[in-house]
Amino acid sequence: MHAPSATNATDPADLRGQRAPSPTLAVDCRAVVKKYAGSTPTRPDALRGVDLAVAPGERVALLGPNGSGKSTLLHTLTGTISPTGGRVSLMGVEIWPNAHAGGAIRAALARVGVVFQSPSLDPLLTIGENLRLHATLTGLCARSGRSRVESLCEMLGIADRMNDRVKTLSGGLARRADLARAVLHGPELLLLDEPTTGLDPLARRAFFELLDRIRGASSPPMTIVLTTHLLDEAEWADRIVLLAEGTVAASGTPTSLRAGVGTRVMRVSIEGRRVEDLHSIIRAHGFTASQVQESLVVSPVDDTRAAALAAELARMGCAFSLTPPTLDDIYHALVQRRAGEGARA
Amino acid sequence: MNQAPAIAHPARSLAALAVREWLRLSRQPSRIVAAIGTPLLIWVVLAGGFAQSADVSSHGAAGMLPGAMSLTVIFSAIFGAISLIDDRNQGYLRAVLATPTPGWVIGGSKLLGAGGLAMIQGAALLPLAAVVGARPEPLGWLHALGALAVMAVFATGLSLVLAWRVNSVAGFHGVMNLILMPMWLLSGAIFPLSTAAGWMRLVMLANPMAWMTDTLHAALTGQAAAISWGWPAACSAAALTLISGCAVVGRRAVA
Repeated sequence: MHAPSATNATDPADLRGQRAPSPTLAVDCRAVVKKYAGSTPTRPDALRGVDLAVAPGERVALLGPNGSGKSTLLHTLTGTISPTGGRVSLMGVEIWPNAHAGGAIRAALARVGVVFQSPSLDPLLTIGENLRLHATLTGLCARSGRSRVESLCEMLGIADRMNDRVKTLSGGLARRADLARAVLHGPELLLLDEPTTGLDPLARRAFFELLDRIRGASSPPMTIVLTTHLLDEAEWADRIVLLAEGTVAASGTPTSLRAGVGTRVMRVSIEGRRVEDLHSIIRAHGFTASQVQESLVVSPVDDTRAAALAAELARMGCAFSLTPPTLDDIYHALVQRRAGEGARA
Repeated sequence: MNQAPAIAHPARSLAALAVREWLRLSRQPSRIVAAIGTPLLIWVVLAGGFAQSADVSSHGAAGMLPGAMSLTVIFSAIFGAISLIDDRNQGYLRAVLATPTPGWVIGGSKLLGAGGLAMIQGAALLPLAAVVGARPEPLGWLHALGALAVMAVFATGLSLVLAWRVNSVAGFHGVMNLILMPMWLLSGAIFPLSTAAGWMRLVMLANPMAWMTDTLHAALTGQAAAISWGWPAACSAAALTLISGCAVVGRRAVA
């Protein structure tokens, strides 16, 4: 299951978003641009020519810091944000630009489920009332809607809370109910916008277990596009698309992204040191580093030059270690590398 | 688990979303009390206060009842519009827009749900007409209900269109005080068109709420309407806001 990489689009027509949408892709975004009113050089466009291709059945995480454009991209896929340029297709149906976009979006949305950053249920209605209403909106008849609501609530462990109003639920339970809402109609594509916002680590893990269970029960497996700024959540996906400042900075499996950074990274403790001094020493050995919490992370490191740097750090009495890179390291390294390329350009 | 994609029948979606509005109201009794109680109180105070005034004696308690009913409709429409702001801020609207439901159904359901409630709450004051001595013809009751329906569509549609442009409930209160309340004050609810100053009469003649209140007044008192073209003009204004409300609220892209 290898979808075309988001960064591999080399056909000029493709980059201009002029090629016909591929009917085989669950998500096909080409050169998508979104400008909000008041975009300036210091406050750039939310999306600046994003290409994204997601194969059916694939799990893709859009990873990026706040303001990187991941939520804007996801909302573009739901049709609730109109892009300024480019093309967007879902399951081969072009939803933007399209002279008949209203009908096209509705046809596509009948096959899509969406979980937003905060639960989107009516707090004054019960779980059951919310879900039955949503079943009607997604085209399920009364009988199949009822049975689907019941079986899903059973699967998600909220069957005994069906008659409770949403406003009385804990964050975790409200999330489960919201997930039930999103998958009620058996969508082929599930879009999740930072779905674990506000949940504690246990509830987050439980959420992803439920997501796996729902996906396991769907046939063919549901395509999932998830936005997150949490690297451990992104690792759950088959492929990570790293967004930075409205563009795709990198794309690949968690393993391939790790390989791009190297097999090991050096972590230099900044405790009791001037960060600028440490940066100077690291640069003098031909490396760059990014600060992650209380450490400077140097990557990629090759053994010869790393040995020289390690020797100098040891002479200075600096604490350091050589470890395999985490996704955190990869993320910072790629963002920094991209920033360096931008500065050189 | 994946099923064949389906698009809901618009009528089913419209009804389901409108019923949601009514369910929500049933769980917020304070909304009902505020929408009916406040106009009722204003009516009692104004009718009592002006009881001995020669200038408005022809207006009186019965004459002021249409004004109380129109204020009830406006308050209910305002609460409906506030629920739209809540829906948007709580993310509910975004989730509905992300379903295959046609945009006009989403806007129409708000109008049907909130507008229906506004009409019912306004009509709840109708029996008071008999208590204060108004003696409408049998057809007059029907006319009054029709006028209330038109007024409800207009007030709700206008409130929803205004609420769409405002991000917060606090902001909407400002809009309400600047637009909706002056429309009510200049609708003939407190003083009739005939006693107003010349310039104000012009403003009142341009005010759709005046056409509707006048139509309601005529229906309840059996007197001829002061604005002869009020009924068709009121229907046109209501139709216009109906279309605008559906189009604006049902616009799929929110950014």
